[in-house]
Amino acid sequence: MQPPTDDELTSLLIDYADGQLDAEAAAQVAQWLAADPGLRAQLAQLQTVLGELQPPAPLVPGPELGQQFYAALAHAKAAQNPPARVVRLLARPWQWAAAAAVFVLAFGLGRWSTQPQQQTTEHKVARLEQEMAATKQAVMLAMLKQESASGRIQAVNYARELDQADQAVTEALLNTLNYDPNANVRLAAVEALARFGDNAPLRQAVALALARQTEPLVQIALIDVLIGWREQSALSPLQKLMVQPDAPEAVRAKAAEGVGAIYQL
Amino acid sequence: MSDEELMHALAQGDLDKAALLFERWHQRLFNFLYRLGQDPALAQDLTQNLFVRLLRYRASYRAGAAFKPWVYQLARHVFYDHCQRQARAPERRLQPAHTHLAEPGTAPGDDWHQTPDGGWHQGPAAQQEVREAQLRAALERLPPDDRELLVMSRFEELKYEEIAEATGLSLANVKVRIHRAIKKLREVYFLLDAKF
Repeated sequence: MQPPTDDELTSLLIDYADGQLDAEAAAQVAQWLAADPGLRAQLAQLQTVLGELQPPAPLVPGPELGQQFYAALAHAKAAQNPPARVVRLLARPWQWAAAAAVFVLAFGLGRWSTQPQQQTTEHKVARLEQEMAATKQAVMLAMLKQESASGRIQAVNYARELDQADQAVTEALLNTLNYDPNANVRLAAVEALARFGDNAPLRQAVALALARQTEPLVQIALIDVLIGWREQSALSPLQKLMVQPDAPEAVRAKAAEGVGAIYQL
Repeated sequence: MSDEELMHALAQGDLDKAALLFERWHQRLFNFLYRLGQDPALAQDLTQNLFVRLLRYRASYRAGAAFKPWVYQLARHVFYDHCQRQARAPERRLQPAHTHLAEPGTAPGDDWHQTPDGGWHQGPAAQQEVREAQLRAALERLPPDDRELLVMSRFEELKYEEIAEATGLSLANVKVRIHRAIKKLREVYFLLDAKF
């Protein structure tokens, strides 16, 4: 067997120290070690260094990492599930909305009247109500795509009338709050979102939305909603807003009020 | 579900699975990025970027591929893209941010004890702290590529195969480079020994 090069010898010693050599190779290394005090010293140093190379105690990231991730996830989901089919179908949503609702109602009633008797009336009514709710929701989502601000406000107000709203609606409202260029539409979105205080991820996403707002009316309305929810994750954006030099005095005062209320001072 | 199954479902459009992957992996990846950059605020931003990329490029995940090396590869790209954006070489980003070394004899900490003759000696905790500081100092003197390989191998406990996949190096090359890095680390560590 050829004598190993310096690199090969180090590699063997590391594997020996890690217990990675097979029996034959380990015996060979042990033999070299027995005959060479310098090699034994080298092994001892390697064992010291490898012993120190242990994973240090992990650091824990701040809670905002999770908040930001879940906001990004909500955004990705909203982008993934646009009401595409409805939007294509309904070029002028408001006019088509009425037609769609009438169609669903008429279709449903027609089917209802011809169903076999074994289906209970309650069943049919419940199904019709579900279909109507789904249609209303689809119409509302389509209306949010309108160019006119008044149309979008109408859509947001329509969302407030929905008895039930699924994730697509809350995400659309959140998207509107974050990205709609018109302050009045954003204000309407704040008011519509206020009813979803039992949805923790949404509350956190709304708290994050505060930092994006620059319109005092929207900021103040948003702070009122966050106070109502006692949303803890709003503390950081509120504390920043409290001392933001370019924020109007009324907004800074409202932010301070929000911090006090959430801390329950 | 395994990480691979979750990632496959995510790649197919089931976005809810991203939340599970985030919960399983964010702390570990945050610590990896912290060890590369030595800056907790930067590590947090980069971890956020990493998961945004994971969402955005989810379709690029190849069904059946091991998730761990794939996500470490993503983390490395996020880190090195950041270094490029900052127009700094990784060497500069990887400078030591701080050490927690107590200076022997000058700043006794909780684990230093006075001897009857008025001198100070270290307890086990202080000795451990000094050894950790010595190791950090030695690691910081290694070239960034060597340091990254050691972090992946010894701190992140990735197998050589996983490191090869994450870095694009051959398996044989990974092993040789890690062993050379350990050799260099040993030399630097014991050169520093006199100073500690």
